[in-house]
Amino acid sequence: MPEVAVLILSALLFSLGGYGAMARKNPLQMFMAIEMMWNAVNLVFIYFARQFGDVGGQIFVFVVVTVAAAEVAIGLGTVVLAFRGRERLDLDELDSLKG
Amino acid sequence: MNIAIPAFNWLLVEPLGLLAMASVLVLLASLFMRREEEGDLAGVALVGIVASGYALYRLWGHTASGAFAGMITIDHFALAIGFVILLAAAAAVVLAWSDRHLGAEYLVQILLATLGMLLFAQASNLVTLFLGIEILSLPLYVLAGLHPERAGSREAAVKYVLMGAFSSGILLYGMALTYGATGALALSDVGQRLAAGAGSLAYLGVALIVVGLGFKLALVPFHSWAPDVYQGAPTAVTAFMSVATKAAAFAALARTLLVGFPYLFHRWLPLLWGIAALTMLAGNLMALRQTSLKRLLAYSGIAHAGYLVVALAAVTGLGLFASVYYLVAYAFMNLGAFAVVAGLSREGEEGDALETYRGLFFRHPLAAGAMVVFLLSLASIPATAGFMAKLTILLAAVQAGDWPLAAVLVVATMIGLYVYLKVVYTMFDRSGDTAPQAAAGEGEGQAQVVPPAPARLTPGAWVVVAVSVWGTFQFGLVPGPLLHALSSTILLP
Repeated sequence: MPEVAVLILSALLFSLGGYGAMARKNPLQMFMAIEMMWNAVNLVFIYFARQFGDVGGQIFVFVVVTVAAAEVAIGLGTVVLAFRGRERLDLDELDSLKG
Repeated sequence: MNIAIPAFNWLLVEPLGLLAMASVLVLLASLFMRREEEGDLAGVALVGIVASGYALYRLWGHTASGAFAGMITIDHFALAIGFVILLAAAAAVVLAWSDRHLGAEYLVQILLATLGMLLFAQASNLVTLFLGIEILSLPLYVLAGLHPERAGSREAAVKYVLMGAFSSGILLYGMALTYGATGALALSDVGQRLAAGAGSLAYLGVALIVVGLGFKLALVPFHSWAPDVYQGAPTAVTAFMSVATKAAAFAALARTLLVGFPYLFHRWLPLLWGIAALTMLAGNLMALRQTSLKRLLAYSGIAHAGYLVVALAAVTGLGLFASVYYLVAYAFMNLGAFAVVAGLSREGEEGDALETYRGLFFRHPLAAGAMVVFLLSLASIPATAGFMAKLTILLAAVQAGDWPLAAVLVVATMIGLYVYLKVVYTMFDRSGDTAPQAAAGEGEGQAQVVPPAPARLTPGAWVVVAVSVWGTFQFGLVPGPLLHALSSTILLP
């Protein structure tokens, strides 16, 4: 696959994820969108690691995937904590902090 | 298959190892203790932090570039930033000592976040840079949500996690594009390969990295999370976050740009100029209309990050030295201000609203006096550390020929002066002292009336306040020793 195609695909995935993270109000959907951004990054790393014949990029992907798992674990924990006792999963319901 | 294990000098990561050991020790010990006793583990955490500081001190003069196969670089810049981070960590532990709400999990997260920050400041490879930012962020997400009774704290945690993950995604994309442009992950290799020439991939890469780190540093326009998180988090955590995260993220930004992208400086310098001017002005202007002291200090922190970027944008040794000096001064005055806020917090409720501080001087002369010192230092009034530090930044900017930025810095400082003097005026204002509080005293007043602050500060808060007052005057009146120690050693990384 040519370099341009990979870069366009990853840019599409990344912007789709970025748009989702900003447009959605449901924290679970936002997390999924952010995961998409991170995976667009992985695609770029994998492609270039193969192009350069360099193992560094592949290792980076393992690091990213591991950290993503930890991030989501903590993220879901905070979501459960904040929305316990609320009926709707909507970020607009969290409005005690503003100014 | 033969895997050759290179010889590592493990002493270089001794500060990190000691923090990790302390956190594991606290975690294990807490299993055998009752909930009420867990607060005593703060002693173990404090010993770990002091030991880590001593290990850092022993590394002074024994610097190593590209240790651990290029993963970390121990230079005096990283060491000096490390001391600032450990100072903030120690303050966070001492501030929470008498807070029965914060148990062992608080100490463990503080220690782990400190470890991540030290790593972040030393990282000289994109992998360690990413690991550093995540090791510092994950505990901070938990810490922001630790306040047991306030919904605002849990809300802060959700917002922080979402913004943190989003900004990490942007940072990662920048790293991936940089890797694609150069085929290297070590910052020094990236720098060397970009010397031959760079394409649009590298330009986009460095821009996204600046944006990603800008989120962590809370630079305008990537600051929107900071006031919410600072206000919602327990005050001890806010104090820690506002100083240590800023120091670590600034160190990482400086090292990434100066080591990884020195040949693209004509591309990222205009970006830094814009961000710095916007951050200084917007931070101070938005601080003007805050009615919560923690939010006001959050916006003030944003403005101070802008001053740091001015120092970085000078791209000189003097600029870098000025930024470290500024971080030392900022650590003392900001930790002190937050210590007063934390000390005046009642059970389960925080001394947050600015109205709580009306006439404070006549109820707590000492606490109010100390607060005045910190606020005047934040406003950079002469004789305080804040003044000397800002003067150094101004000198660096002028020396580098950044006249427009220097002018914006002066204007922003004058707006900031009004912000801080407004708080000082509130503390000396007796007029509000009688009417609303008399009503509150009767217990028949309106529900919105803020009750007066509690009778005294906690001992931990007093310790932090005393040390901060000392630091603010020491580095404002007798800056010589610190200037000397820093100037002889800090070079471009």
